[in-house]
Amino acid sequence: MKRAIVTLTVNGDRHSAAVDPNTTLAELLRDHLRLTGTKQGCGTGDCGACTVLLDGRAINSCLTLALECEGREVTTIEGIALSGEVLHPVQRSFIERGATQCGYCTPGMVVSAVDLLERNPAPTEAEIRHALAGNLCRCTGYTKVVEAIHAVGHGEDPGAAQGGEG
Amino acid sequence: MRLPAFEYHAPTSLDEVFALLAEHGASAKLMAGGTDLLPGLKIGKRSAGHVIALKGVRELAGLSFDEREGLTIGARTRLFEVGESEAVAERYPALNEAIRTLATVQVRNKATVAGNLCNASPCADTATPLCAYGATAVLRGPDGVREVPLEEFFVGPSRTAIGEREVMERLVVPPPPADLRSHFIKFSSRSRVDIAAVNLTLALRLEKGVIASASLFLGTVAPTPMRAVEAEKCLVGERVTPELFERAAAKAREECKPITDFRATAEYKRRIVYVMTRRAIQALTTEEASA
Repeated sequence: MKRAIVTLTVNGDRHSAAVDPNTTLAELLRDHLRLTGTKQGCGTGDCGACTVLLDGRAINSCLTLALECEGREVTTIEGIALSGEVLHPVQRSFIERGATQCGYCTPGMVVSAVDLLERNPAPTEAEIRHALAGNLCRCTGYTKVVEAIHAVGHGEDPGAAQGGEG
Repeated sequence: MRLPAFEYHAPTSLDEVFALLAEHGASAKLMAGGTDLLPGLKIGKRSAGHVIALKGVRELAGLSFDEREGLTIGARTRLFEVGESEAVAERYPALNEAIRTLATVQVRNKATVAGNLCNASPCADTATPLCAYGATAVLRGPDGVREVPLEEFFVGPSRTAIGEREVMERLVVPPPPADLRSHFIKFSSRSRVDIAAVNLTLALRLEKGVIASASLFLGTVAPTPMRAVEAEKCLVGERVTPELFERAAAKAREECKPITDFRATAEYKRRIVYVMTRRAIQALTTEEASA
């Protein structure tokens, strides 16, 4: 195979990597750039564990070739926090509301949720479930995930979920 | 799961694409969004020595609507773009409905309408709406362009009328009559994500309570999306009554040709075609039926 250089922006930083044509974006992120927050679940675009934003839109990185991303912008779970110290409201809400158990689906869930809230800042429960249909979870049964996203969309204080206890 | 080895090409013009197809022949596969090709390569269902990415080909860009020309969907246009188009939601609601529940957000952000059609699964969700709206596929090759009515575009499962050196350049859908009513229904195991066990699109027009025209296309129940000609004949010229719904639905059930597969048995699909045809007619004629 003929290797090629791909240059792309990931979480605001420019990177160049020499990749095989059959290297997926997921593999580029995890193996070349060591950004292992993005997970590989099914490899066929069904589970959403590999979800990242490409030019601001949620996609399956397992179904995207690295070379397709030339000159483009990728945001992974590592780029979702507002800063080194400040989590994104979605991340905080997931933690506070117990929307994470084993954590494997969580990066994909959070990225999809962030994408949804960008386009629809106050989604209904039905809209949340529709938008997250491409993110599967084996642990939570989705209830807390949906509540956590709904809370962010409707300005609910995550602390309130614990009955006011600190 | 790793992709098998292949070479990757990113042409920017159709001439480059034709040259690549001529050079590499059957080992070259075109890739638009890649959401069918890449999983297919991973599981060994498809093979490619050369992947030709179409997303940078300038002649394939564009999504536009106007009242005279209708809707033009360039082959690079992604599902989400058509799904977010207000013109499509207003004038081609069945297409909007089909796209809204096709696969997942992640897939819709990458996959293309053209790819969905060229993959030619009889289950393709964009197929029956576009057929019902009378779409035409514009195919371009090194020797020129030809237009194929979408109804005639599908030749068999995974087989289309596209020639070896041709590319689907765009879809053209005529402007619909102002009083056209249309509806898409999809039935699958899960409410989201699954490929359809049965899908269909009904488009009809009424004049003074009588059905003036009807287009009923059924997906998944034949080797290609099929026109339910007998059901249509049963509807045209008739006043709307519950008894009509059942007669037309029964015709659709008789004329479809489903096979048993892992999604449903043939008998179950026939049953669902009956139910969905009846529901589609009901949904489009609620005012007339209750008069």
